[in-house]
Amino acid sequence: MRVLGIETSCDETGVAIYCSNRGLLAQALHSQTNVHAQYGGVVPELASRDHIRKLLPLVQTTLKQAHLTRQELDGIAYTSGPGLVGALLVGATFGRSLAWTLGIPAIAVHHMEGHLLAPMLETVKPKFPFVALLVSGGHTQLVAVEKLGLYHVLGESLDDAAGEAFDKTAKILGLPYPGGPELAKLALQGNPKRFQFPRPMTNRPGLDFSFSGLKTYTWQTLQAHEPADAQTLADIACAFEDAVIDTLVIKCRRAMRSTGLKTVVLAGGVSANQRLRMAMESMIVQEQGELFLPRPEFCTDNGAMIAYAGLMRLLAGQQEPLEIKVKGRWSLQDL
Amino acid sequence: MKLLAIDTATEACSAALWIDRQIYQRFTEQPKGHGGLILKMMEGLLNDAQINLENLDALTFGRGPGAFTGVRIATAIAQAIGFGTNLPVIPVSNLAALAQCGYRKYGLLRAIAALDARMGEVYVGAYEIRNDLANLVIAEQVVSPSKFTLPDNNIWNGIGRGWKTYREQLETSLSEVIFTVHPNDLCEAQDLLPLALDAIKSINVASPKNALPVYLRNQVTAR
Repeated sequence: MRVLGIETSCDETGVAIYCSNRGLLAQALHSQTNVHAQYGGVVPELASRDHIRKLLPLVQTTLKQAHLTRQELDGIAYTSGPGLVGALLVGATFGRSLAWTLGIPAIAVHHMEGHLLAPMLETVKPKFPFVALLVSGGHTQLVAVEKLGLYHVLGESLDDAAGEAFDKTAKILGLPYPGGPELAKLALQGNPKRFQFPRPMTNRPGLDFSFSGLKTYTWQTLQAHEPADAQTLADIACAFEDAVIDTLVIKCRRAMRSTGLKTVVLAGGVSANQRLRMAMESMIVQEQGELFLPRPEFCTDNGAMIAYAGLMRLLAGQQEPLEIKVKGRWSLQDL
Repeated sequence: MKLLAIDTATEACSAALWIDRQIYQRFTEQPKGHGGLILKMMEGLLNDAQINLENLDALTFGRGPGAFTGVRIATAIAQAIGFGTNLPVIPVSNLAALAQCGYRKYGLLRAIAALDARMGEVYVGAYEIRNDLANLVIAEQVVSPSKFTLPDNNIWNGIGRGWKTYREQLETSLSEVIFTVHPNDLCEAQDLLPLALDAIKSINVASPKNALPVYLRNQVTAR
């Protein structure tokens, strides 16, 4: 079964074709970073406008890469939430309509389920059940994945997502958009011993996160050292990144211990952060567990994870009625 | 000739089918939820006529201006069907369709079509009927209703919900030349049909890649 996957939940237009026999056949991605850079963040209306210009050409490119015609598709999967409603609508409308036109089933995919299942795109795949740490610009969640479609959210951010905190802190430090990767780059020059930032919500039980206070703490530290020289900025970036990574690792360790699960999947855009990857690897060794890290292109938003998640659901016999529906907010537990 | 038309650009959601001069339409007014309705409307029309998409000669859609999200729903459907079937896809202006509606319903030969663009503005265009078709006389624009002006002193008629919200302001600038106003009408898919049938003669290949929205309002954020 060959499934076309479409992802338009935020600022990446992602398209891919996944085959139940041959795996990933082709994928294409268009990033809107340049569209939003001048505004310092994603502008929802501009995101939707860009998706509708880019989606069809990307679908055509992907089919060409896979040496397939549209009639050789067996199903269409599209992200229907959570995310920016206008952006989601472009992919969902196109995907649902194309499936109707071709007379094949359509399946609406939960964006975070796509991320959870992204490691399944790799040759070595994790076995259920496992703990997933999903860290992106929109989400920070610890999820117990029992099996396909059965997810328990163990903890999540009560305010800013980790990636959002990275981007906003980068802005405070005067770094260009998208700030997260820029902050990580600057942090490499920093002295990790100069500042010690708090690890929010780690001194109390539970698996929830909060990163907005850390952002404020960063701002206050910067104010106390104005005018900050280049080294001070790097030291602050380093302290901030350490605090976020440490917090994520502490909570992930706690999730492993509380569930008794030894297999961990790290996914979402922030999981491309090299220092986070190294810190997680070292924690997993201590816990005698196993860590699965999708390659960076599968960590950030992409069509392949949507095609895969859609394929799994289509194989399980699910499909959508003849309606175009999106959900800006949608909990994994409501799946 | 068999042609399918869809429109989701305003509070109205509609689909219409032209089969050799016969017109069939499904229409509902509902501010939200077009995504839940439009494909079923299209399927219902095709089923009633006992044809499928492959039997069509072309597809037309309301390309805007209108509600941004609504315009994109019709556009994305048109792109998908055009791509999925190789049918020509004909974008038609929602303001032109509104003027065409005025001609069909009230015999208006000169119409100022206006839609509420929110933020104190209207989407507006002026049209004359020639050979039974709405022809653009004054470029479509998004403008404050009190600032819209006409180049001549001919008699005009108003049509569209822009006239409902901003009648007073529009009449302030146009009071001398306005004869009748029809402020309750909305775009209907059937009014895209004559315009698309005309356009198809001149467009050899209307690729779905060129099926794109026309927003008119392009400043959507403050820098």
